[in-house]
Amino acid sequence: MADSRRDLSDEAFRAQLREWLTRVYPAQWRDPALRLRGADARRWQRMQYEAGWRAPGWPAEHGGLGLSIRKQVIYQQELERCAVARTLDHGVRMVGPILIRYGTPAQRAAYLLPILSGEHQWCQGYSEPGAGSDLASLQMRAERQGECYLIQGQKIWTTLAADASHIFLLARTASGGRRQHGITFFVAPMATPGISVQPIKNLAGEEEFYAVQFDGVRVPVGNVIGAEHDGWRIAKTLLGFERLSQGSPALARHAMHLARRIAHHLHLEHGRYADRLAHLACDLHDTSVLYEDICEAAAAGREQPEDSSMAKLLAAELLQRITECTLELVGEAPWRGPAALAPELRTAAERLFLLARPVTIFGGTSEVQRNILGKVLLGS
Amino acid sequence: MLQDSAQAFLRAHHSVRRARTYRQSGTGFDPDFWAQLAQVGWLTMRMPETLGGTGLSIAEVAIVARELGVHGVADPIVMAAMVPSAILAVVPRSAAAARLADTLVSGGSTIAMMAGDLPLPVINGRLSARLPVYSLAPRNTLCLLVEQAGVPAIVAVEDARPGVSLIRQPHDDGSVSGRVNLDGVSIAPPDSLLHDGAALAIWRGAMHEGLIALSAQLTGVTQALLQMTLAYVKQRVQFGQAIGTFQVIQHRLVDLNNAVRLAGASCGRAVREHLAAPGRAAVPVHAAKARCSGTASDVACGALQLHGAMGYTDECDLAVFFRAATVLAQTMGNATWHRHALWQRLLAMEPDHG
Repeated sequence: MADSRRDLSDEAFRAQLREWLTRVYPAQWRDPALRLRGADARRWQRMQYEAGWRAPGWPAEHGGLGLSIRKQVIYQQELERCAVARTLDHGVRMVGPILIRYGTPAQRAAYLLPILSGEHQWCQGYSEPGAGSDLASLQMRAERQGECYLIQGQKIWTTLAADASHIFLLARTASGGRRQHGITFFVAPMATPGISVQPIKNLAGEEEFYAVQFDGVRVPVGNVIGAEHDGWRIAKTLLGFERLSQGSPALARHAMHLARRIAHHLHLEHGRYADRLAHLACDLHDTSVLYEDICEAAAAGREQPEDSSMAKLLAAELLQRITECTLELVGEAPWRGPAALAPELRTAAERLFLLARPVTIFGGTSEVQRNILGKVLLGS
Repeated sequence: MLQDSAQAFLRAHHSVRRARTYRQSGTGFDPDFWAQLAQVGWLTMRMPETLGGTGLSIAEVAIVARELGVHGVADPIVMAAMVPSAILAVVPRSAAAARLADTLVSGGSTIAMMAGDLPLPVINGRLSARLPVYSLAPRNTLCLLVEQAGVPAIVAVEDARPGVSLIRQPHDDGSVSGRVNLDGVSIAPPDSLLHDGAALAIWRGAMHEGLIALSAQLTGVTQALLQMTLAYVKQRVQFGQAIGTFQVIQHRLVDLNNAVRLAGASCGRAVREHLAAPGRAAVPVHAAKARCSGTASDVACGALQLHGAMGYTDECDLAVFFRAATVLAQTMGNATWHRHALWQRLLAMEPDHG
């Protein structure tokens, strides 16, 4: 089925996907601000898998759809159009592509299929208490002992660790020389003895991220992905369209829609908020156009690698500005007459405002994105 | 390629020095350069070949306009030639159209376009009004949107006609716009390029092309400002190193570069949407002029800041582009005006508030 989809015309492909989403996607999940987790995430991934819509970027011989970049762009557009909820899905986005590129046949056989079916959920063990933006300073040790590595240390800010069946992580296997050298990429089941998770409640009151403790965890050498000491290079290869999809302004569009609804209900769309809303509407328009242009360039094989940093930076900061304005609009409600604002609109605005805070922190802070872009721009 | 030939023409016939001479002349018109522009066909790009034009579209106009910006040209090519040429592209053949076309083909004088799109009432064949125009040269043909007997019309009138007086408004880049006082000026049927209901849509379509072309010119100016600033911060040494190695400078330049990319994307979208639906692509056209004006102002001021005291001198080449950016950013409506126009459109278009 996947084979035939790959060969469809772009328009037929779009129509098929749209028809399927419209027919099967549950109404209660139609919310781009929602993140499915646990059983819901597994169920949605299984639905995609069984209908032959899972892993758009993976090659067909590994069970993916093997889509061109152009069709992957369409895939993302249709999911956004249907207001599909987000899932973490590190399995399809990161682990799968890395295994396909660097894994052994045995590793692929062990992990790819359970990722596709939704049976395995993965979390990412990169950040440590002393290693955030400066990831290369990570301290977690992995010491070779016969056919195993003994792993000791702590990971932190690990999103949805309690939902995960598996973790992929970076640990130091050698020291001295360049800091990036001597880091190795491992995979491990979360059930491995010695791994424990502690929730960290976020500002929105949710248990979204966790500290993951490794106390004398023994991981077989077969769980090293790629060569020993070569993990930094592997971790940096976030592959293909996945890099770019982080820059989609879909959530900003959703936030702008909410801002307009609230402004309308409070009769503030023509008043003192008009220029600010107009400014945000223009920013959204142009950011969307630029993102489409960048996707089009990627589809034509003309993408500049740093463009994904630019797209992510622009979309993230725009989402923040929109949600900040929306929260201010909500703050006007008490002075705009009784019952002027439905409680669910207020809740949605407050929720989006909080949801928008970490987008300039995870996946490379805005400051790090500016460093990357600055290096390219100044040629240093 | 058009872009290559545009660059070659400007390298041969224009320079930063000529931009300075143009500014100092105070006339808003460089007759020699204008004649060369006529010869190369840039004043008549949109006109059909039957009128002596080259029959090109807004896509090619935008390419040339962008190069005008890159090279710091302040002459009123967009408003005094490209916009009227877009009107001549769509009106039927007539003696009035041929006369106006000849003005552009010969390059002898310029066309002063009335600002705005509210028709001026002609009463008993006479027109009295005070109106702003986008450019003024020593001799002008006025191109006006009027209403005669309840029907809109586009008319062309020499400024030598009795009852016409001009008030010139020089700008910092050397260009000159102004106000026209019409005191009982006679308007006769032979003055009309078009006298029917379509005149309004044609006028608006041409104004949209003006906005797109100015946006494209602004992207060129902005690109030039960014490039000269990038070059400057790489060679300017302070505290023992090139200032371009400092993170704070790099981050400022990244933000300016991102703005330049947004402007290019927005302008490109406006061109495509206008080609698909001429005169009806108001949202992308307002978005483009808002973005390109805002970006040009930000990049001009940011470039000046990063040049330090050198950037505040007349002698620095930055001055030519700074002036072009700040004047063009205001021409035909600044960023705030176009943001507002876009917002009004959106409010009218999508009454979707659940």
